[in-house]
Amino acid sequence: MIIVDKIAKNFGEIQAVRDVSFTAKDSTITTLLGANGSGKSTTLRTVAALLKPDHGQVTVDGICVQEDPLGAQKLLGIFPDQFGLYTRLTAREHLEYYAELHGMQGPALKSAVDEVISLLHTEDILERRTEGFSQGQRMKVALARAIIHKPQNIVLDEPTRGLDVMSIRMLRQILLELKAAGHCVLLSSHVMAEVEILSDHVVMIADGVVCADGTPADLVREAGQPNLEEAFVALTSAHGRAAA
Amino acid sequence: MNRLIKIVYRKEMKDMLRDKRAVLAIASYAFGVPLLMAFIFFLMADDRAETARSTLALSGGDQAPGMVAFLEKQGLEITPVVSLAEPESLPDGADAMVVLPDDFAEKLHRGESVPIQLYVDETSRQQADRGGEVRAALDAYSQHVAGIRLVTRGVPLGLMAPIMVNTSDLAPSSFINKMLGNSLMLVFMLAPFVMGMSVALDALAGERERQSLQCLMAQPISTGHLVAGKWAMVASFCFGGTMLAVTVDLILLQFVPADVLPFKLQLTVGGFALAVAELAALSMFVASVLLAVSIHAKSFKEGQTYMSMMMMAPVIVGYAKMYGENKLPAVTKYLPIFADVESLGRIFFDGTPDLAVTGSAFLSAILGTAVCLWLTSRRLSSEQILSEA
Repeated sequence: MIIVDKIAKNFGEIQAVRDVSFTAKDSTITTLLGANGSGKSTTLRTVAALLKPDHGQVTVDGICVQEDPLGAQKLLGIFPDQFGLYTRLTAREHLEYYAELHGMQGPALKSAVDEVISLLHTEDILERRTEGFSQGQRMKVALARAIIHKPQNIVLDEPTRGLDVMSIRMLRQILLELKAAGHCVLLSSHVMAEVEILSDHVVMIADGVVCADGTPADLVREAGQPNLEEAFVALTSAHGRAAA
Repeated sequence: MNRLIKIVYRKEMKDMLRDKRAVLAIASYAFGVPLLMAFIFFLMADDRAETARSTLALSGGDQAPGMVAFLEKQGLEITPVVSLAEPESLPDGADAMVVLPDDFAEKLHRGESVPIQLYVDETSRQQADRGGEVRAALDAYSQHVAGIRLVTRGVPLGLMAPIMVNTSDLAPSSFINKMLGNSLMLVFMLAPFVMGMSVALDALAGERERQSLQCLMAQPISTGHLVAGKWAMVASFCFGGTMLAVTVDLILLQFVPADVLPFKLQLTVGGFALAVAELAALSMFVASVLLAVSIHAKSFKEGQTYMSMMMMAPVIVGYAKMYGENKLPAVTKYLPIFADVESLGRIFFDGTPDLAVTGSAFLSAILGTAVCLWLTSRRLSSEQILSEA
């Protein structure tokens, strides 16, 4: 479970996040929904201990990220917005490297690699260097890398960006399987259809502030709109007017 | 080695050994530079060859058999020519040309002073030196004839030459020999920079360019361990490549004839072990410098620009040491890189290390490494680097 409590983050004069609070529970897919520059990625980077908030705090399964970043990172699986693969390493070498960084070795490591390969159906690309991989293949490696150590909490920053339909469907299926296995899945997105299908819990962010929080159905009802997209526009616009 | 550092080191080595750029940089320096050095030694040796005789083209030499004999005795090779009134260049193969007037023998016989014309070509240092040799030989002949004239008139020879100067060069090696020796040390000293540059760039600037840094930093590993693992990899390339270059150099020098070499290696087993240890320390320092530069670049290309600027520092230091050693304050020989060139020179050419200079080289390498690694780790921990990644 990830608890974000009143975090704020400035970059010089720019207030990237002003006041964001929410709880991402286990066995739940929580989505941060917001426009570009609304503060989603900054919030997720704070959760991943890559940034220190100026105010507030983040806890991952009871561990305060600011006080024990390495301890929190052990409980997290990170899927960044850019896959960032090493082109001269094979898919297997990627998985082994990240598993080792999480303290896995010997038979446990081998077994973890086999499991994740089976889950993501990556047998065909396992021994190939990642140079020249398609976006879908790169996504599979990045996701396998994020979950190789079986983290309880999985954080994904705009995971469907640049993927084709088949890859998106596969990713969606995997996330639902992870949720069913009891994991806490926290992702960011601005693709309404994806959010509506996947999410149990949506946190709408605008200008670094949470402007609405609930299930997709709750948010649609609260905004009095026919769908999530209209609800998003209505709720973020209302927030903008109130802030002005 | 710490387990996490070892994991990062192993992955980095595997990755970089597959990098053709890095391997090519090592191979070209390790094999190309020694060949270039050997070629330069051959060229320089030809310049300095004692057996090479200056050639004098002599016009009108049939009037001066005594002079021809004297000049040949002085080591000149005389080639008879017929000169134009106003020659525009020296005859082929001649280092100088002398034109004797038609009345040379007659005037000499009468005991008069005879003007003769010497033509030289000072396009190159070698030609200028050869022209100077001819001039000196002609002056000596003039003195010789004057001496004979005075003796025949009953004047003792000592009156005309009150002192006779004999010159002996006491320098252990000439300037040019020392410069060539220092240039070999400069090749050794620059080796770690060249060998580690590509992999250092890839290790940090490359991580930022391929946007893998953010994911890596989100793993449970401290920046200290991460930097240490990458530094160990770069240092391995620096040291391995440098030792390859040194080995190739030393092997190649065995095939260069001793009279061609501008210096004599006095390397002992102990000295070689000390040189290896010093090059290891230098490699560690250089690896840390390369990483400290690499961390400031957002891309490989930007990093190459910074590296090119940084490379000027050791080159300038090296050349200052080679050409301006006598003008530099004594304390400079204890500074980083200066100390390495000095210390390695002593080990390779004198056979006895200067422990103060060698110790200074070690100390500055260790301190420099610590400072650079601290700066790199600090920079990697900054949020700014991730926001730029």
